[in-house]
Amino acid sequence: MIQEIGIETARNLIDYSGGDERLEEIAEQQLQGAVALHNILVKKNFAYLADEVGMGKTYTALGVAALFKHFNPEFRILYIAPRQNIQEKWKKELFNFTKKNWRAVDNIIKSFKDTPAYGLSSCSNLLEFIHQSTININRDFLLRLTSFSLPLSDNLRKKRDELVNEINWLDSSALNLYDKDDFKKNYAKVINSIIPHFDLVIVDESHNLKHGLKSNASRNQVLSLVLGHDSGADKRFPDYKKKFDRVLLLSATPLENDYVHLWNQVDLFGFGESIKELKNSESDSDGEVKDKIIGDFLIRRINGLHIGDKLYTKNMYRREWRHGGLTNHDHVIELPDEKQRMIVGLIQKKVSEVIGNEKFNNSFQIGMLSSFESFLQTSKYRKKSTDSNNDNETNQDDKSNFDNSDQTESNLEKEGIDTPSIDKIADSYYRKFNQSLPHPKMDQVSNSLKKCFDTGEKSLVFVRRVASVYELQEKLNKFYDMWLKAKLDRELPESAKEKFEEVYQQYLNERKSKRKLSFVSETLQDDSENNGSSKSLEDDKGEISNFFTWFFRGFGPEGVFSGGSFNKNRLNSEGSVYSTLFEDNYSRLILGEESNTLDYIAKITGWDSRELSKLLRRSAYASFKMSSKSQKFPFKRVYFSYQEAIVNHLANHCKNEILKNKASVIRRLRFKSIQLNGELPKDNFPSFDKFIDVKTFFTELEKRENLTDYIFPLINENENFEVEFIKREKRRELISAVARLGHPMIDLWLLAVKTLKTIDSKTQDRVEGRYHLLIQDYLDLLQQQKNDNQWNTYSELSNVSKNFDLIITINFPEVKDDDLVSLSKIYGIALSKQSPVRGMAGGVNKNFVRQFRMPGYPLIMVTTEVLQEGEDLHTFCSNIIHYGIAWNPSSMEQRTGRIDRIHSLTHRRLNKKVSVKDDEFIQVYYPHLRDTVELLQVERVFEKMNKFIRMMHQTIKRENFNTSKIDTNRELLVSRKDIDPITEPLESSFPVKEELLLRNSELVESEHSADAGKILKLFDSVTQRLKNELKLITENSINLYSYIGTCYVKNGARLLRYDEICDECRNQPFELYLKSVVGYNKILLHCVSPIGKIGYQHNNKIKELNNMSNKIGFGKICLVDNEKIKSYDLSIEADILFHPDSTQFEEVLDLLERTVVSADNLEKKLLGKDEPINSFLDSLFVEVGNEEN
Amino acid sequence: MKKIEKLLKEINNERIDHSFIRNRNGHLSVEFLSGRQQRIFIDRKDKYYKMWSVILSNSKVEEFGEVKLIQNIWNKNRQTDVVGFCIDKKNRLIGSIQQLAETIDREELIFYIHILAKECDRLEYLFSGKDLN
Repeated sequence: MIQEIGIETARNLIDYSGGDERLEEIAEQQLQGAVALHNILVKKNFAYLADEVGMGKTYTALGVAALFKHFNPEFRILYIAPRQNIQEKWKKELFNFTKKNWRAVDNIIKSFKDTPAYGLSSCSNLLEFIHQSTININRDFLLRLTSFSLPLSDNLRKKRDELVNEINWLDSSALNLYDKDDFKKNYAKVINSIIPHFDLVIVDESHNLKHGLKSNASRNQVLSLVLGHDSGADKRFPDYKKKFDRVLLLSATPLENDYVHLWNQVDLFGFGESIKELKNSESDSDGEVKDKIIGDFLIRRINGLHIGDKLYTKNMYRREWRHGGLTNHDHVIELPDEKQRMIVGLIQKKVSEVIGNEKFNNSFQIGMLSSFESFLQTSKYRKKSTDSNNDNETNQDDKSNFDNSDQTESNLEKEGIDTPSIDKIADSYYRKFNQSLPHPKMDQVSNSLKKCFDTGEKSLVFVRRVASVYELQEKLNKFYDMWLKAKLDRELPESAKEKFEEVYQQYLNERKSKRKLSFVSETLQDDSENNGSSKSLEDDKGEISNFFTWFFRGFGPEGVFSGGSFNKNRLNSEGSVYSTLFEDNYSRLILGEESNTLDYIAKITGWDSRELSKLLRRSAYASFKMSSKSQKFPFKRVYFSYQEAIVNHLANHCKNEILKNKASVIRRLRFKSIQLNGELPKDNFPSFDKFIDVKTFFTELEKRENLTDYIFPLINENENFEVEFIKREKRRELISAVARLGHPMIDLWLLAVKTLKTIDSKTQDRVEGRYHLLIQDYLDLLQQQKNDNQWNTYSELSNVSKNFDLIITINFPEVKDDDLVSLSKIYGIALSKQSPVRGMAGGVNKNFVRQFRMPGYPLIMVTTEVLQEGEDLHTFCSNIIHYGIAWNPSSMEQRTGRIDRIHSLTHRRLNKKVSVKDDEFIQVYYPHLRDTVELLQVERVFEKMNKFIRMMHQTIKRENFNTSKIDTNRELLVSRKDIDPITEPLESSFPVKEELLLRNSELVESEHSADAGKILKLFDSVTQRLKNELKLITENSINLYSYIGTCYVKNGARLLRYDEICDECRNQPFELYLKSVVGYNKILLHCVSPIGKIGYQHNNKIKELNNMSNKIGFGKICLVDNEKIKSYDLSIEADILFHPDSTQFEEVLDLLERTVVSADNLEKKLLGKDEPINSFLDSLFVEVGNEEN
Repeated sequence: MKKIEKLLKEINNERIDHSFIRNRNGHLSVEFLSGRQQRIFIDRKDKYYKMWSVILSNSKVEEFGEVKLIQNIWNKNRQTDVVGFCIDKKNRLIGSIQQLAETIDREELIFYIHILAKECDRLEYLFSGKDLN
């Protein structure tokens, strides 16, 4: 029986602040939300969390799920995220929540590994959902809503065959291929028959379901049938039934302008009857009754900033520019001259004629007139076909020129009803005047955005028309080029200018011929290609988008000392002295600056200087040979070899314990132990002197106190050195990547050219001799820029450093403390391929999104709806431009919500202020032309936005605007009025009800929760005893809940005891580890012993192995299909229940003995081998590691 | 077998997670809320109890193709706690659990029987679409 819980019980289990005091207020809100929703779900089986955007709904929902599970271990959950990127985000958050917010290891929520103790399967489509359900149902599942779309374009026969292949007994005639709608429904019912029963379904961004079962999109119906909606009962599918008990819906914008949207969502899951009063949108008089009904299952909290003694709710700290202008608040876009006014007038006349045509009945779809965004020809940019294993994410009709085109069913509207007429005028204008038709709105927007190249401020621009992504980027790229050219003209030495002009001309010529093609491949890409996981820096060949991407990235133009070639041939080339520019000097970090480093090391280690010199050379050579087979000795590699040799020597021999400890920490975290192999260094191996005192940017930066405090703070000697060193390395590598790969590269290159006085590549070797000069020039420049108070290299580097912790948390959760060697690669990939302006359409490029979450490039992100949900873009951006307007307030709110979240730039800027200026708020722009029909759609959307606020907060007024169409005849006759934003403080109509928190209820502990401490103690004692009683070789332990080692098997029958001599016995690796049994309150001791591999070609051995196993009679054979090398990894596995009060040592010994002996016998008989543990060690460690598998 | 006979007597009609364990003549039957049932047998071999349940008969195993089926169930063994699947000497697909007889107690026995029945019943449904046992 599932019971309600009190908030104090929940507080004992969840810490939403994760120990961060700054988060305590929001943490309390999240805790209250989780408890209230839990208790609503216990009573009503459905609940809705409608907190404002950016308040951590995901975490609140994960808290609800964890509370249910903790007290009911068999509780199973199905998560449905809107699309792939958000699905991945949920998975990450689930691991984060478990690790950071769930307090104790209970082996129900949190395992010994600090990961979820229950299984989670994330599926990319419904077929995979089925497949995973057949493998193991005792898990939670994470799906995406797009999986339920089943596009009509799919090959139905293939879909049917795939299903039959998974479910052998399925009668394929149940899936009629000739009726697509019928096929979809039956497909859903088959899936329903196979999937497990879920105790709770959690649907993220559930406003996507607001049209309910009546939606034009079959997706909603398929979803409801997969989950077993009553309407799907069908004799042909006797196992069809409701497959869930409860549903939790999440969205900051649960309705548009009508309560029926709420009813639709709830009814889709079969609970509509209990809130049927919301179904009738006509009965407006009973608003209070509806509010009461909603308040029984929906919770909404609102966020606010405390400035001085006043609370600013979102609507107050967002400064909306509703009059259309972009330069002066409350001003309209002014048309600059008569010519533009005439053009706009002409276009309006044409648009009015089109709208007036009987086909369109004086109406148009909001946001779906081409002329609102551009007068250029609207050509279609279509998404490339997606990976066949994934669902089509966009699900848009091919004919659409707009995002979110399911707003209408009409193909003409999807194309933009004014598109053909506008195209004709644009074409005629171009033929007559040989230039493109000017578009005042686009011109004003790009003009206002270009100031960011001076200020470094970021802006997010949403468009509706896909082609606008390209057009806006093009205009902005041209402005950027003008800005950069002017900077370079100003700062290049006179002697380099002539050559530079030639290069710039070459760029313009190349751009003219290649630009459009390159745009399509840069911007309209699939998610699958853009996760940035496999691309290395070397893959960057530059782009033709703008001068930065062409000249400062890739190799740059031939024959020229470009930014690109400087990076590739100097900074990133191991042979160049510049390759150590952004490295650290570890010996100096340990010892400080000494006039004679060698003598000093000799002194503190008790060695003779001459002997030490020889030893360091031998050690460095051994280190070099361990990492390289090269016969040459590139500068950077030799430098690191000497660094390693010194650190190693200090760690082994230093008499000063503090310095010795520092050396040991650095050796462990950065280097491997050097094994001297007796080989003498080759004669041409460079000598010690050149490498011991290498200066780098960071060693010299540290000497300038007024800079280093802001960019690279010194190690705090009072803190733990290891913690400080890890942080220093993470920061150094990040600063290094920012300096080499983004905007700061321009200044570094300029300084190099100033020392060379030319950009001719023939002279670039001369730059090698100017290494120290360049470092000092660079630091001088930073010093000077610090006082300039403008956006420049200094401001970018110091901004990264100032917000270092935030950047690491949000952008680099994969960075681990114990793998500092990988830092350079991780940051290098993340920050490669930068551009000042980026566009996004058709799919999400995660690397570009990650870059937008940091200071520096891209400064402007132009995007369609693909970034509307799920991606956080708030950390360094506080300007949003709704260039192409969405037709509903929820989309508008979702879009603005991307930059309005906890820890946003605006929140950080305002939270401790006493007073605030208007331009410090989030700036929300709605550019539009007043004297056009565009005004009508903007006003409609403003009205709906205001109405949404009234409906979800106190005073509610009702007006009916639940259509996306505008009747121009009617609207034009209505006198124009400004729809101002609501600016008074908001108060939610649906706060958490106090009685749901059960504050006075007694603390409850789960009867299922295991005592982790006792279990680990017992595990430790039995493994110690195993070591005492058996002949074992133990591997280095990586945690407290696992034990990896090798046993010896005597006569194929038993394990060798501790005091026995190993005579003709065989070795057999094994692993023992603790795990929880999903769905039960039990801990298992699991034993794995590997047999080995058999290739696909030896399939016949499978039957033989099964027969042998039957004879041996113990343990289960497990197989992992290793497709890469076309073989199966085989092992024997077995488990026993592990309980601190009842498990005896003899049971553990028996488990180990029988598993290991069985595996060894099978290995001997089947493979004729006796493989040592080294062959299996990696996979054994992976099995007990804490990675997300 | 005396110990287990005593324990089995005690757990007759035991309810666990929406199912009942019934002690029939010569075997146990686990009845699930859905109406499905699974038969469990218990043998003593040396110092171990072996609990097992038939999932597919030998004729059904032949229909699927033995090697393909073995690969499938060994893959599934990796994902399944406690229960092991194999093709037995009579060429049937069975699920089984083996534990030391000496130390098994009431609570453990109920757990083993329940998880064995649940996993075998699920696999039976996935392979046959029916409730055969």
